[in-house]
Parts: sequence; structure tokens; C-alpha cells
Amino acid sequence: MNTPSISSGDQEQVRQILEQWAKATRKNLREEILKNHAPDALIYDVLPPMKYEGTDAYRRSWDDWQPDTQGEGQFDLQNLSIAAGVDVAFAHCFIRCGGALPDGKTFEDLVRATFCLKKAGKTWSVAHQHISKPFKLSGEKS
Amino acid sequence: MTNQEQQEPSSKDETDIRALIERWAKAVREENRAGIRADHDSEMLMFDVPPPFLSQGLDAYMKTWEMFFSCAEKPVAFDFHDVKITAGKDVAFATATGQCMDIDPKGKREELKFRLTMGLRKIDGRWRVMHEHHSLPAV
Repeated sequence: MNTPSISSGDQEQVRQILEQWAKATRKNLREEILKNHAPDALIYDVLPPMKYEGTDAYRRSWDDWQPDTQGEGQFDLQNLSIAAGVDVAFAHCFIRCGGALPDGKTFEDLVRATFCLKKAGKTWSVAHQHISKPFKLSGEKS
Repeated sequence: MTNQEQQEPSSKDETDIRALIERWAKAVREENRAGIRADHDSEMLMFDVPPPFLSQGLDAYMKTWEMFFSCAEKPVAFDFHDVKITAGKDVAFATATGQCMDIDPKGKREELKFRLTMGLRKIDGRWRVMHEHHSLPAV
């Protein structure tokens, strides 16, 4: 049977890249956050403007949406599941985020995330990410 | 599908996945339940537009379509543009922007543009959908 070969080494590399991204976001290390993203990465985000084509666009709007968290906020990947192939991978997880705002109020949120990666040579990079929350439809009968 | 402009010649895998997405979207438009699940893996995981937060497995996935059909104007609109496919040897992903028409119990129509990400795996020579992420709004 031609079952897909799952390289644990690739899976581990992808896991490290995503955990580094989460850590850089949590610690607000701006130079590190997009370190492993492809320059033309397509980013579907959870806050307006919702969509970025390329990491430069994402960097430019960083200040517009990044919450003014006091100190290190929470930004943890949960239930991370990775499907790493020979040269393409995808992963999904939840992100538990939160922190304290300047007025002392705290916020907490849970979002869903999908990451898609490509391998060039021995290096994986994030080609796409999609972060969202459920959206209740007006026609929903509940 | 309206995205006919390919910058590079498509590989066979890309062509196959594009056809898969077209078949799937057509099945949704025709409310063809068997067609909707035909290329999906039993263990797939769905992040849908409305709650629940996630749907794990094919049965839970099909429930999301019952919810969709209960809110969708008939005949069902379900179309994609900007379909971009990245196919590796054994794993692939696709991104697209979709369009459908929501209708509430009072008959108020609302066109919805949503984002789609799909994760696929080639199993026994066939591409299977392992993951779908649909979300709103698109812009």
C-alpha cells in the first residue's frame, strides 16, 4: 500500500517553527515573528483587514491591531496537529490568547488556526496561515 | 470556479485538486450529500464559519452542511474565486475566497464572502481532504 511517508523529523521542524512563532508573538519579538514565513505568504487574520498578501503588508499593520498588552501576554498553541509530507505540510490548532491591558482589564480569547508550509532544500517556511473565530449567521436556527 | 489564470503550468496533482474542489462545490450547490463527502477522509477536521468551534470526523462534518442548507437561499450558491493550489508529493493545500447567500427566517438575504483553506493528503494515489477551514468575513 502506498501510504504517505511521515517523516518525524519534518514534523518536528514544523512544530518548532510554529512554537517559535507563538513564542515570538507572546513576547512581542517583532523581528522574530515572521522569521520563518515566506515573503509572499498569504495571511488570513482574525482582525481587520482580515487578509494580507505578503509579510510586508502584515508588518506594516502590526501596530494597528496588536493589543497593548502589559508585559508578556498569553499566546499558546493547543491541540496542535501536523501533517508533514515530503515537501508540503499543514497544521491546525487552537490559540489561547490573553493578557492585561493598560487600564488593568484583562482579556482572553480562543481562536482557530491553520498553517500551511512548504519545504525548500531542508528548510520549511510558512506559505499561508488562517486564523479565525466562529461567526454566527443571521439565518441560523438556534 | 473563475480562477483560470495560472502563472505556471499546473501539475497533474494541481489539476486533480482543482477538479476535486470543483466537484465538491458543485455537490454543495446541488445539495448532493454523497458528493460533498466523496473525497473526504473519515478523520477530517473542520473549522466552519458558524459554531461549533470545530467538527471532528465525517459525520460531524456532514452536520455542518445541514446547518448550511438550513440557512442558504435556494438554489444554493457556493462559488469560489482566487483558488490557489500548492501540491507537494503527498501533502497539499488550497486557498480560496468563496461566496454564498444566507437567508434568515424572515427572508432577509445576505451575500457572504468567506475564506477557505483546505489541507489534503495523497492516500493510495488519491487526494483526500483532511482539513477544511472556512471563516468570515473575507475582507
